[in-house]
Amino acid sequence: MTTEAIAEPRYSSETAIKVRGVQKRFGDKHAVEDVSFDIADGELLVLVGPSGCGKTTTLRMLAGLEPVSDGQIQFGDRVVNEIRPRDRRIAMVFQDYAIFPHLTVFENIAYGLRSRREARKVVKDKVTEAAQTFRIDHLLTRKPRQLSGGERQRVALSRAMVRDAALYLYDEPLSNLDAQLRHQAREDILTLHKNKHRPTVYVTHDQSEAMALGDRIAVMADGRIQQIGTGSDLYERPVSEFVAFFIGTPSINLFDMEIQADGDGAVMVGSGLRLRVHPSMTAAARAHVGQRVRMGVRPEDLHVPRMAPFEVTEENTLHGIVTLIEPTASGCTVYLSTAEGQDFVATFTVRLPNSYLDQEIPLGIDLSKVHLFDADTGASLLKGDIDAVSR
Amino acid sequence: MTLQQEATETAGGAEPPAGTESQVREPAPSRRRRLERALFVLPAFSFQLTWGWYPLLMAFVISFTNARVRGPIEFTGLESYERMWSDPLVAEAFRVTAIYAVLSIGLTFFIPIFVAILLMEMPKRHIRWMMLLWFIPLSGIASTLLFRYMFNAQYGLFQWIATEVLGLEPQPFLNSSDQVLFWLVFPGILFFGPGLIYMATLQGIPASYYEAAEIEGAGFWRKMWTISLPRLRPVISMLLIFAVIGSTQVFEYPMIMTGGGPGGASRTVVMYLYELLQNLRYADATALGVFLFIGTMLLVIIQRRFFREDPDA
Amino acid sequence: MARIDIDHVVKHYVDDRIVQTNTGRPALDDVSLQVADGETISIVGSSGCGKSTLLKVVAGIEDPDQGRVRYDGVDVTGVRPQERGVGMVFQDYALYPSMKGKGNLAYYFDVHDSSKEEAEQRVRETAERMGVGFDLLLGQVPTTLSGGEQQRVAIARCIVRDPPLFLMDEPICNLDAKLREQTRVEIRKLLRKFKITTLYVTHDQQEAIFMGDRIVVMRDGRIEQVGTFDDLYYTPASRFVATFIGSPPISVLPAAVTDGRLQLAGASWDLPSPVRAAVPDGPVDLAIRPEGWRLDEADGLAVSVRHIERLPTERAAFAYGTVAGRNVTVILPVDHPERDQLTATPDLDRAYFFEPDGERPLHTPGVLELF
Repeated sequence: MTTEAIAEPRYSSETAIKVRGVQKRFGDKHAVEDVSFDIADGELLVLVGPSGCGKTTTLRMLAGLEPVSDGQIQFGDRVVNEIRPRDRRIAMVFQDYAIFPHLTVFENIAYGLRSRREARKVVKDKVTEAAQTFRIDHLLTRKPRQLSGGERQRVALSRAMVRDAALYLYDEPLSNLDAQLRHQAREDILTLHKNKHRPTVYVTHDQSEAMALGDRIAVMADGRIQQIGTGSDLYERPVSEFVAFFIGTPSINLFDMEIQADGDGAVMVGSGLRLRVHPSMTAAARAHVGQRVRMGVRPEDLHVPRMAPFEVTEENTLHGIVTLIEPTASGCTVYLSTAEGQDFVATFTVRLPNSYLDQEIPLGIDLSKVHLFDADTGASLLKGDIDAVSR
Repeated sequence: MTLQQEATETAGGAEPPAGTESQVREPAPSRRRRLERALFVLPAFSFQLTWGWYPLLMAFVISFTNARVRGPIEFTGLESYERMWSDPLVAEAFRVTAIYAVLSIGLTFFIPIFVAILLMEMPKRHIRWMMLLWFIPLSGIASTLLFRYMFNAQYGLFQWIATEVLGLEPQPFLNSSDQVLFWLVFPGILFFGPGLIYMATLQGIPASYYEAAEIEGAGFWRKMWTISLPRLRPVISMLLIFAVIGSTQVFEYPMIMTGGGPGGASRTVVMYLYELLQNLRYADATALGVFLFIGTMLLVIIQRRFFREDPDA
Repeated sequence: MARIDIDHVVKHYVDDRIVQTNTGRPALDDVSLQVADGETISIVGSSGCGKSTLLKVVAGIEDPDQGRVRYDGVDVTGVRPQERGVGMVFQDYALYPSMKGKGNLAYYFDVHDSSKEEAEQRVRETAERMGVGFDLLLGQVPTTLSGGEQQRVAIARCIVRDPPLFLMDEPICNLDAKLREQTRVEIRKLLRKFKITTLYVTHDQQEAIFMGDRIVVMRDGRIEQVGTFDDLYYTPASRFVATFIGSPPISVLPAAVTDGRLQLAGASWDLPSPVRAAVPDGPVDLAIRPEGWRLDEADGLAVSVRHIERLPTERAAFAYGTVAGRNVTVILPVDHPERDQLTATPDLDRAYFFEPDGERPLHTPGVLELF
């Protein structure tokens, strides 16, 4: 057969993706409300959020598997809202890999090429090369059932590898893998991404995966993007309590406080604490004197007094009773409870002996790194700072 | 984790050499549990023995005798087999049965596969309504009787459709020896045969297979050939056996609708067997039964041989 | 509460097609384990290692082919699961969907003909001890509860009947990452509070480390090692344990020892004296954890970097690269500049040595002296 291969659509030279005010309604339920973002050529954007936040729906709209209720999706300068998935020129790696159990590994990888009637030789070369890249070239004649989970995942990656797509999509591709396989799988995904250097969207519920992979990360909740930025943007300058809580593990500790003026400075009082506001935040804090706020302290910013990189005084000390100690490779994670019964967590780079269980210990808070949030809206009170960064 | 999962884990975990993966492993039961299992199986087993295997064996024995209602029963060897072999009515009955089987499997077994795949393209809501319609329980005998009236060449509904709606010449329907077998199969098309089972199976295929295929550029036909049909294969394979057995043993439809007519054009093997029994030719009837049994078994063996059941192995 | 004694248990899965022949290896191959009263043991291993089978044997769902299982010294091998009174929690919660949380808790007493007052009393007590907000969950049907809440009710349902033993099989692996993090703390606190002997099966090493007072690493139906996190991490009993525990995994490099010096990829270093005593001259496999490298020293190895993964949340970056064709992972400061070449020296005081291509460790560093 000498039929010509079916040509895939071409988009304008910059194949960047633009998402503008996209919405998705199921009945009268809003799954996605007004989402907008751009993806540059060669950029890997991670959509991360708890289950039901709309991240997968957004991905499926990009793929064309869900129709868009409102708004626009553009590939280059072309609006693709009405274009069928098979005509969009995309590649996708599914959570369950969606490799066909009745086809051999070779046929699975070749599936897209065969759909487009590529020449036999081209198919064979491309499939072999992709399989070699992902170390499954010895398995090409097997059926998927004979493969391990990690190998199946690499079949799915190879299937994306042989394609020349304008956009690559990943829907929680690591969630079915054992922990030991994930590091390798992450590298494989980055190999594919670097090889293609095309816009890529990656969906996960695991913030550590997002941190490890994303050039930029969009944190989603309730169908909206809460914040979009690099990993360190989200970690160091979260716009809201939600983002602060979601990014980082163990999660940030939150304390109910009230801001009071104190001479030129300010203090935070509450939860059995009286803490001096760090000079870098005094201006922001003094604008909220008398208001209830939530103070966020990352577990990494609580220090054993003797080893703290700052002076620990009465005005930056938190006391807690140790309830659990979890050893980690780099030290330990300690779960504590204040006298008022509030639970909080600290991570140390040293190992706390088990003899401290049920003992009360003092911890120094690195006040230059705390976050302040509006107690009602959850918005960050240090927002001036953030605006300066994200623009 | 369920037992099954653990079992497959054990089987698939360490990349066993090709050929052993598909073997299902079961936990070795203790003696007490083996006994418990045997007790559960016992009632079904004894029923099968009494009402299934014993009559089969007896029929086989009778076929070698000159069994009749009165008088001494003697073994007559292959006499009844020879008689049946040379009976032209037997050959005719086998011919009718074969045509019926081909028509019935072609029209009520294979067509629904494609209809079911097409129906799956409809919105979920509609699919549910369609399935509900087909689920309405009907007595086979009652509906067959109904169809007999509808096929009536003078006042039947189908005659009205043929002449008034389609403007054709009046059709003989069941009175034509050329058409009768087709009209016997026809109700089965309307009842959608095993279509519901196909649809249930199709609904069990992960949506991600179709989505992945779509993203990889596959259209409707390619998705059907590369996903729907392979996934249906185990079900098709199993139902085909039932269809073969069912159609070679067909009795009640011709019995009610035509009584075997016109002129034996719808007299199937089992109908002829029934007639032999009514004439008290027990030995001949059982010998014919053995012929049919052997014929059906051959078909089933051929089917098993050429229709691989597990598409994933 | 009970002490559990698993004594040389063997369990085969019979091949169904060829009856009475055991082609594969046994699912459990001579497994022995003692669990102290009130202790939580996590059992970790990759799929198919036999961890779930072990749990089923302890529960009585499966009978062992050989060996005994004892609760508090009483042999329960062959006793039916419903007569053993163990509490089981699975990944799919298995709550009775038509009953409210409270009904789920009281169900056990209903089928065991306890008086209504007694049941009420026990449910109320348990609810109180389960902690803040638990009584709110009791009024709801399971379908309206989140995954984490359902799992709390499932655990309470076990606690309410005062089981001698808790068996949990991947109870939180269906939850999303953030919820998993919260729920495991919740479960750990409950286990500590109620001091119930627990076997906790998971495939996630971090979860195993967190949940278990001791951790069992299983592989191919055998126990590779039992111990605390420090035991497994710093003195692994085999190469398998060394590579299984730790994330990112340990890197293994083939090297050689001549005259007390370690030769690797053209460089060489003096071995510290405890290592020299344990590692003979000849080929050896050197294993280094990501944190076991010193950067930018004169006698370092050239590491060609494939990519650097920055994790501000962990205040670290991981460089994934190769040395002499082998993959290595090196931990870096989070603000380390982007480079495709690094100079790294293995810290031989923190290195692991294995017999070449074998499982047996020749030398392991032991727990670090921090103070």
